[in-house]
Amino acid sequence: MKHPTDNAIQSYLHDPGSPERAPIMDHLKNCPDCRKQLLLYERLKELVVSSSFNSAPDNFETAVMARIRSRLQQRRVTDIVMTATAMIGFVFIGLIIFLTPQLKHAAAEYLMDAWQYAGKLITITGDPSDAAVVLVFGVGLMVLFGLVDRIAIGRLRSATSSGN
Amino acid sequence: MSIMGMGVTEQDRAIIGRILSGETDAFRYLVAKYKGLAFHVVRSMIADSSEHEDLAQDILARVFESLPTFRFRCGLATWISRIGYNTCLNQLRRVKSRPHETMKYRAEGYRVDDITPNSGGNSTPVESQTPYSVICRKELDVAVRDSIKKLPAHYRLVVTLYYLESFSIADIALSLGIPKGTIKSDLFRARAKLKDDLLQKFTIEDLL
Repeated sequence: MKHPTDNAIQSYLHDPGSPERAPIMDHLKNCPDCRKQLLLYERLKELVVSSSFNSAPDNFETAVMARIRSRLQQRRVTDIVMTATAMIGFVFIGLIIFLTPQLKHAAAEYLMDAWQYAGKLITITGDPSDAAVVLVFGVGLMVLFGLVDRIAIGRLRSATSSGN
Repeated sequence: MSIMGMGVTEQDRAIIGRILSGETDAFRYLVAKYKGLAFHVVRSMIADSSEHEDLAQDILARVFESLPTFRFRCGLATWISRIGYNTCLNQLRRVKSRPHETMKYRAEGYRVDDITPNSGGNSTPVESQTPYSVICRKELDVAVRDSIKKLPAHYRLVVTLYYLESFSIADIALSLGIPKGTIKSDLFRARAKLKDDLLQKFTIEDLL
């Protein structure tokens, strides 16, 4: 009598009603050894469940909620710090430009050139769409920088939260 | 408590809605319901028992943070177990990058003494058993735990999700991001190893 393989017995356990399993069922009816193997596989679930542990300490829910509140607080602080840093940065750069004559003139010239270039585009082509392209390109750049900033802040947040 | 892998109950949906509308304290209900799952995933993957509670807390805190991205395309338990799996993988990677801690992880393993036996509804009530059968039962429980501990971490996780969380093979595949066929063969191998290991300590009649 050829015994079914271990895999075949386990497959039978998963799908006993399948027609492919009929020969195994016939074998199991007549083979007490293989029947014991099948019963043992069935019993494994009970053995694993009964040997499992009490999962969590009593104050676990409170500890998780405290951790969540702490992270929310941390996120709020991070947001405030990031916003304040950005504002201080802008003011600082503005001050440097304002207080350094060379930079002030260079910035003014640059802005003037940019403005004149946009004006030229309109007068040369007589079509304001070229200026609109410059404008759209500028806005596009700002959005791109904004997205990069957002991703960077997101990563910073996840790094700070996973650091707990 | 075992949680079926598929589907999100109406109660869970309502709770998620309350959490997303800003009622943070409603998350306590989900913590109570899914803490067992978080611990099962952590215990399957991380040997150092001193890390278990912290990691289980971390998993549930991440679940809270990620709730706005949950799209109800799979069961909540499946989704939580995926977050748990990824959290533990990250922890293992962090430990791997710090060799002295890897040694600690290898050396400690599970400590059976640290673990309180399950008092859940699945085990036979102690009052109805004789002292001898209680001792035998405890001996068997320790042996089963020991055999599970000996399994490779991945097999341990598959067995845990299948038996303790009643996940289907499809749910486990979804949780771990591994094909169903692979999970099925992993489950078969894990069960065969578990059975062979137990048969080295007990006769088949003792186990049945």
